[in-house]
Amino acid sequence: MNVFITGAAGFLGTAVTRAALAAGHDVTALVRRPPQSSDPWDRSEVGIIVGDLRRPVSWREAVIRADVVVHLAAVTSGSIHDQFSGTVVSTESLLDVLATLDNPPRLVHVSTFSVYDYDAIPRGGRLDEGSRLVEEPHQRGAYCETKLLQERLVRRHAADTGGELVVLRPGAVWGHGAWWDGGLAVAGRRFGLAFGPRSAMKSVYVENCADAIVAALVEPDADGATINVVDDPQPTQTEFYVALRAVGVELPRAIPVPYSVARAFAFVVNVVDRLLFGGGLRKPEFADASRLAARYKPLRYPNAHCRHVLGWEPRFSLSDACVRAVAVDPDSHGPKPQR
Amino acid sequence: MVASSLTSVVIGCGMISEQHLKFISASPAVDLVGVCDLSPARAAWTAERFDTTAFTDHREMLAAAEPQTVHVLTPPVTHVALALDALDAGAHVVVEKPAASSAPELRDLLAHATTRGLIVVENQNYRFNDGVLRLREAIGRGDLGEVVGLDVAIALDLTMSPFADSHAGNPVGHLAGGAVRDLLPHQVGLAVHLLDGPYRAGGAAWANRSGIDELVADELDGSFELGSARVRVSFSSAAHPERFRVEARGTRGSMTVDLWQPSAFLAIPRGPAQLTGVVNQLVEGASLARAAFVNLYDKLRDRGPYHGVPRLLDGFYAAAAGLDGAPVSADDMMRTARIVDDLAIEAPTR
Repeated sequence: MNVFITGAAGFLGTAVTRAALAAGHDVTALVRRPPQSSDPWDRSEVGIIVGDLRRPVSWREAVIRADVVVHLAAVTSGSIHDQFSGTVVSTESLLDVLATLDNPPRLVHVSTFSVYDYDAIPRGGRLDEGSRLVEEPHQRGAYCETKLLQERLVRRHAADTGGELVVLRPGAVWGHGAWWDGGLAVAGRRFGLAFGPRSAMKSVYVENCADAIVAALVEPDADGATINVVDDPQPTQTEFYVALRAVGVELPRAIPVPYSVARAFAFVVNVVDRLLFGGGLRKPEFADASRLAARYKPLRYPNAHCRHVLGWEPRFSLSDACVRAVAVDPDSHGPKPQR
Repeated sequence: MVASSLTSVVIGCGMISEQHLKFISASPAVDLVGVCDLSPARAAWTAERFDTTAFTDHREMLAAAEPQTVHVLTPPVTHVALALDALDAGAHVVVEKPAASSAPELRDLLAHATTRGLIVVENQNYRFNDGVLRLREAIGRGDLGEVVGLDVAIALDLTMSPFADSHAGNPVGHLAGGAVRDLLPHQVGLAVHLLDGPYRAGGAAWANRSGIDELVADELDGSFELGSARVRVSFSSAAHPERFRVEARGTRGSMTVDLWQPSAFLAIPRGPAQLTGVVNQLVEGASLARAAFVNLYDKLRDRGPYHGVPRLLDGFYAAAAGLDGAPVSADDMMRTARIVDDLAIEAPTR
């Protein structure tokens, strides 16, 4: 198959490119800057286009030739307007081109767990593909808001055009250089706060995630599906931290803070905000109840739907993944993701 | 201040539009009747947040909404054409800087407005920041004596900015001086705002230190004279920390204002002559400490360096309603544009 990948040089994009090549596909990678590493970019089955989604002139022909488009491109940091341009407007540009095609390729869209409404699920509850999406995304920050808008765009496009669409929502994608601070909420040089130490990480190792995305390229039953991608068994924040430390990842000492205590602190900050700032206070993640819940609330994250629809299972366990992540040549990975 | 509300539209829903739309939505003097952006998604998202109608064609919006005022907040190369369309539709215009690419272009735009009985105001928002207001008051009171020198210096790393994005294309790449030229109206506009007297051209040294072609230029050291003062405007993309600092030196005292990490300090004779230096240091230290707490408080409540925008817009709407003069006069805009053009004579081009 001819696979066109947007955001291909990113942390997850690089892994998806490798996995797609390993599965025997030909890949055309859209990257904003020429990749610095050799693998997989020097392979003959990879075509590289240096360009920007908002300027179709460089990539339109590649999309016309593609059997599948994997849409990974997004901006994960900066202001809401930076992220809107790089995530939503870019997607709009891609969809404009797809809409002109008589026989459009399948679109495999990579969304995120950030679109879910964590406040709507009770502690210990289950978050799955049927869970409610966040209704006030601006309260959860620019990443949540723009990824939600992006997902709405691709869904509307599929509904309007009848094109094939698979939406994958990975959890916290981790790997070499993307350690999520070992799950710590506030990490200094020597000490860090481990909020919700017994909460599940909702994590997925980058190569396992790439396997799921590549499975979605060809699986006929995946058309129209929305699929959460998380590893199992899900490590707790503490287990994740311990596993990374065990293979030598440098992390500060963890001071455990029960989720209920962190939540109470955020509640107090919220009261102060309402009383003194009229609700206009800019709060860090650890002091914002809604964002705190999205990261640390103790919930269950089943992956049965992913296993069933894609026939996927995590290739690497947490311990195996840790060993692979620290052993990998750092130059062959993409940049560290911001989220 | 304004008796009845005026209808308004916004063209261009990028980052700066946030400041304008927040003002509009909070102002009883303004009724937002449409927003326009080339991106349907961005137009729809903005319209939803500010409870108005989305458009992707500005002419269609002008015809349908029939606004009395238009905010032109698009990339600079489009400003004049959009402002002319707005004027032809009978609307007063507030436009992001630079309002035009050159002084002659601005002269024609302002003339077009005048013949229609309308106003065009360039968004020289820093004129209305707390520090600049205090500086202007101090100069007006004579605290500084006769101003003999004014430095307006910006240090801002452009290398990771949208100006340097080879894919996006520098939105001011068509201007000599590129990204630096884009900010120059702010710097020169402050000098024009703070100083009176005849203008005498000086010179300017431009450079592209980073070597990033998209920026066109990223360093500037220019000077000219306004009245009795020698004005120096400088820009550096390499220098850190990032700051926007104005220093006025007079025959009696001097005042330094920082616009991005807001602080203002007036150094004048204090105490016995032998101890003036020491007393001023103590006062400045206390002033900086107080500024640090205020800045922290402002950051927490999301009050940033754009806090002059609502004041400028308040003035714009008062002028549009015929209640007051324009917050930035046509003369000041023209004077600013002419000085910018002179400084850019030796500026590199793409």
